[in-house]
Order: sequence, then C-alpha cells, then structure tokens
Amino acid sequence: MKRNKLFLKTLLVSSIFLIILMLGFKKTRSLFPPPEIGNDKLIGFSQYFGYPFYFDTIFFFMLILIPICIFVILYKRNLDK
Amino acid sequence: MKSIQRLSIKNIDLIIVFILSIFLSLPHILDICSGYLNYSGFDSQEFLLWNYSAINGYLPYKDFFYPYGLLFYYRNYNLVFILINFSSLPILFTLTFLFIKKVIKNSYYLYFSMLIFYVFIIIITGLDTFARYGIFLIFSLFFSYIFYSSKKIPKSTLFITGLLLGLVISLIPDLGSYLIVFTVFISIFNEYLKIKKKNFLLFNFFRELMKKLTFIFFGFLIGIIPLLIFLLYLGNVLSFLNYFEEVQNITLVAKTPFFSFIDSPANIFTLSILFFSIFFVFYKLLFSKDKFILSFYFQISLIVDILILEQKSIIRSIDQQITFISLILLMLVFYELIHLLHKSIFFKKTVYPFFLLAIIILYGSNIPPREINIQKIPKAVNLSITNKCFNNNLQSFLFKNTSYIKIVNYLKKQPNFNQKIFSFPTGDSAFYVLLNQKPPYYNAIFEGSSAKNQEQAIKYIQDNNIEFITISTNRSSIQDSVPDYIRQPILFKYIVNNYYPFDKIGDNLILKKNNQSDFFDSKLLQQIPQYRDYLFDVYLYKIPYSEGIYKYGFLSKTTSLIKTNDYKKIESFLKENILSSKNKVLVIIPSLNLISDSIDYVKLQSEDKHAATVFYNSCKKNKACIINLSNIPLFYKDRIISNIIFDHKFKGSVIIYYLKDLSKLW
Repeated sequence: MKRNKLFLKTLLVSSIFLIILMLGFKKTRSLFPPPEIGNDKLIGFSQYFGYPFYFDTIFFFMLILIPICIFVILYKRNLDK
Repeated sequence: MKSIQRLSIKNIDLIIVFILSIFLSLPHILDICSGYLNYSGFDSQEFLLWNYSAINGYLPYKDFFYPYGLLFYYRNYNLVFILINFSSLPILFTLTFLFIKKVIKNSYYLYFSMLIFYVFIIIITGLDTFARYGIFLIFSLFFSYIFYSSKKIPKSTLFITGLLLGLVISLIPDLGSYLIVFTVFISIFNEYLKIKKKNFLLFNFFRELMKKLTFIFFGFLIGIIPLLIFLLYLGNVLSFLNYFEEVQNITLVAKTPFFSFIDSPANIFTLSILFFSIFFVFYKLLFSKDKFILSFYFQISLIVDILILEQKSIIRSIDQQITFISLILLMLVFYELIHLLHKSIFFKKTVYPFFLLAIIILYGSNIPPREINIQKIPKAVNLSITNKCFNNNLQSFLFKNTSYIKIVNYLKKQPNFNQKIFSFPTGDSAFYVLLNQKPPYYNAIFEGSSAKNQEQAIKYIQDNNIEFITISTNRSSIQDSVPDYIRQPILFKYIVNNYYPFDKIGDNLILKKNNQSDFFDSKLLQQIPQYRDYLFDVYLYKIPYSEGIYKYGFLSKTTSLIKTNDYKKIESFLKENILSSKNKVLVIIPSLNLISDSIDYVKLQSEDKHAATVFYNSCKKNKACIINLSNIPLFYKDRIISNIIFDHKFKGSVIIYYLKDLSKLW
C-alpha cells in the first residue's frame, strides 16, 4: 500500500515536472548557444538554423532521469519518516 | 542420426517457425532487389550507384565512402549475396521466437506474441528495417542471455562474445559499434548485480569487470582478423579507419531537431513504453529481494537497445524503425505485470491480447500502412535469380526521370566530351552510372561537406579532366532546407569560377569548362529566374550569429578598413575608395535588441551592376554578426563593391575587415 502511494506520488510529481519542461522547451533551448562552425566547416541544420547540437540529448536524458530522481528522493523521505 | 532426429523433435517448434518465416519473409526479396527505387530525393540514386559500384567491382572504403558495411553493400551483387541477405530474416525471426520463448513459456501467450510481432513487422516497421536493426536486437538479447545464464561466465564464452562483436563490426560497422557500447554496459550491469548482495568493493568490481572485458577484447581482435586481411590485401586499412571519423562528421551535418517531432505516433509509442519500462525495472531493482529472472535481463537489454538507437534518432529520426524493439519490451513487461496480479487465468488470457492489440491498433491507425504488393514478388524472385535487379532498377529510374538519358546523349555529341561528368548538387549520381564512370570518393552531400572532402571533389574534377558539369536547378537543397552552396561553398565556388553555362536540358544547367566568362552574366541563368534568385538572395540564417559568438574575438584583433556607428558613412567610404570583395569580412553590431529570430538583410552591390542580398537572423544588442563575403555566390569571383545597403530598421555599427587568411571563418 505504502509502495503504491509512493509510486503514485512519483508519477504525479514527475508528470508536473515533465509538463513544465515540455512547455518551457523552446525557452530552455534558447539558453543554449548555437553550435560552432569548426575548421571542417560543416554546415547542417543545426549550424544553419542555430539549433544547439547537444540540447536534444541533454533534454532527452533529463526527461528519462527526472522521474527516477524524484522517485529516489520520495523513497528516501519515506524511509526517514 | 538418432540424435539429430531427437534434436529435431525437441525443437520442432523452432523448425516450424523457421519454415513459416521463410514464407513470411518472401516480400523482403522486393526490398533487396528493388526497394531503393521508392526512396525519395537523391537517395534512390545513391543506392543505384552503390548497386552499380558493387557489380562493377568498386570496393567500399577503397574506391568510395560507403556507410552501411559489407553485408549490405553486396546484397544486390549476385544471387549468392541476395540469398545470404534473404536468409538473415527467417533466422532473425526464429531467434526472436527462441528468446521470447525463454521468457514467455506458456504457448498461448508465446504464439500470440509472435503472431502480433510478425504482423507488426510486415505492416508497420517493414521487413528491411527488421533485417537491419534485428541483428542488433538479437545479438544484444544473446549477450544478455550469456551473462544471465552462467554465474561465472567461462573465458571461452567471453572470448566468443568478442569474436562475434568483431565479425559484426566487420560486416556492419555502425551496428557493431552499438553492440560494443551494449556489451560494455551489460558487463558493468551484470557485475553490479552480482556484487549487489555482497559487500560492495570498488576494487573487486573493477578487477572483475576488466578481466571480462579483456577476454572479450581478445575475441574481438580475432574477430576482425578476416576484415583486416581483406583490407590489408586491398591496401585500404586507413580508409576503413577513416570511415569512423567520417561518420562523426556525418553526425554533425545530419543532425535535425528531435523534440520538435516528439509528438509523432512512433515517438509517443516508443517513449511511453521506454519511460514506463525504466520505471518498472528501477522499481524491481530497488524493492525486489528475489533473484533477477531472465525477463529482467532482457528488459534491461531492450531498454539499453532503445536508448542507444534513440541517440541515433535524436540525430536523425528513425522513430518508426525502432518501434519493433519497443513492442518486444512492451510484451515482456506486460506479461510479467499481468502475472503479478492475483486474477484468474481467463482474465489474464483475455487482457493480454486485448491490451497489446489495442496499443498496436492505436499506434498503427495513426501512421500510413506499408504497401505490400504480393503480385510483384514472382517478378522480384525472377530478377534476383537471373541477376537482373540492377538493370531493371536502372530502367525504372530512367523511365521516371527522362532528362538523365537526354543529357547523356546530348553530351556524347559534344566534341570535347571525354565520357566523364560531374554533377552538382553532389549525389545526383545516375550520370556516373549511365556513363560507366567511377564516382567521386565522397559522393553524397552528407559525407562530402567537410572542407577536406570538398577539396577532394575538386581534385576529382581536375584529375578526370571534367569538361562538363550538370547543375540540377530544381533542387536548391537536398536535405533539411540548407542550400547546397551553403553546405559545399568551396566546391561550388570552384565550379562557378571555372565553368560557364553552356546549355539547359529540362531542369539541368549544363556547364562547360571556361574560366574566362562571368557565371552571373550568363543569359541561360537569366532564363531560370528561380535559380537565379536562389543565388542572389542568400539566406545565411544563424551563421553570422554563430560566427560572431565564436570568432569575433580573434577577428577584432585585426585592423579594420572602416569602423563606423553610422552605416550611411559606408556609402561615402565606398565612393572614395575602391573596395574589392576579396578577403573581406563584414561585421554588423546592432545597438538595439530586435525581436528574437527576426530576419535582417544587407544588400551588396557590385560595380558590374550585380547585387546580392544576404538575409540573416539579427544578432542581439552589441553582439557581432560576421559575414564572410567570399562565401556569397556573387563574390566567389572578386568584384568591386559599389554600395552596401542596410535594412532600414538597423541601428548600430558596421566594420569591414581585410583578412589575409580566411581559413578560421566559415
């Protein structure tokens, strides 16, 4: 029962976090600088339209890891109680 | 004999699945023989060229860059290779069945899962996709099975794992690289699970891990020996090593946004399953006191598979292609979940198929179904047996694209034509096939974009004494809305400065070697207003902004020709001085913050009555935007600049630099 509560709590908090992240996606993206055009002079979509190269990867892992982190935090807090 | 008989009876289900898979895989022959004809843009030409190259004995890595590995390169070569590639699919299906059977032991769930998997592959993912990424799936399941099944993995098993890795990387380098990442992960994870219940000692953990990885590494070295012998014999070991560097460059060029398309049905399907599975696995890791079962290992493996392939998808979307791995993961997780419930068998047997069907129908109804034309299979089989796939594909391509043969016939009548051609944008490859010509080493725009590879394309033009070049004027950009002259400015500059429009056939401009005339004076160019505008109205978008952020530091240390806060003074400067465009860099620093991402422009007029307008994303207040004039098509040739007109909204300073060495700038 306790575990189910914990699970639901995690789901709720993570969902709120994820919704905020997804809504603020474009704002977050603009905080990253555009990719540099190096000596190889490679130009793709990212360099041409100034799309931060590693932003998607970072954001992707944030989405995956945030619920897990929330779960661990709530679990630890539960243990302390 | 009796033991074989006994083995056959014991594995009768596997034999039946294999035979059934052969029949179900029959449409794959269509993909192998002529599937590439359905590809859009220049992709079909690229595959046609590779097909031609394999038949003509050109070697990947040595003669040209090939991204997919030897197994796929030779798949249209002759009947033997067609059969090897065709048989891979029934084997993959059978092994998938075998691994699912290890977890889902009940026949009802097992056969239903397999049936649904077949249908999913045929209708949604496609057989060709499974033939490719299924190799990664099966090897990863196999490796995780090895790690699960023995408490102390024998050295020989680790060695064989490495050997297989070596073989996969030899035949399919990209999938081999993914498998290496996977193997390292599963080794670490397995070691972690083993010590989880013992006292955790970091030293022991690393010692055991390194031991395992060392045996895998030795196996890997032996596994790549056949490839090394093959490469040494042909003298192209370095070219193969270069492949990995080029793949990194392709990554830089090919990156497209991922999160803008996160709401595609395939992404929603995969990410929902991934998200839930990670949670489920993590929950078990934290709370479970039981021994971890094989299903748990497989779930971890499939999650890692998806995470690895998602990294590729983040670069360039393969969202639909990886959904079949998500489906297996869903099956395993849901099967385990439903058996955790204290419900009747009837309930479980009803809910399992209904749930899976509902999810698949929900996903499948939101994507266009794949066309399967069974009537075409006999023709494809016949073409494969008689080794006529390539000829048939070439004819089909020429039937749809009539201008290619017209251009070739026209050029053959020209007195100076040496049977060789170069086509721009690069990747317009059918000409090489029609002229039986050896293609450039880096043919497509993705691999040919780096400065070094553009220089190599120029060398190809020079070495082959190319007299005629074709420019496809209806394709301003092959990929991702980035103009081709932005991707390959060095190559395009060479073409424009050394060749002159000679004739126009269909949408193709035929250029003839001539470095005396001005490309932009050509009357033929005036006849194609759309292409002319494309060359004169240059959209640089964020390039000046990016250049300003990273390169203004060094540029500002050089002496400027003029620096003014009033851009109108530029006009008087140009009247008083003769300013050649050669090695000139224009820096624009706004003193006001304009609306984010608004487009600004600057118009550059030349003394010979031409004008180029450069559009770019305006920079922030007091941030420099850098425009390298020698990369604007009109100024590929040095011209006297008569006037520079700025956007009327613009307020700020303007600087013109002379830079002897432009190599640091784009």
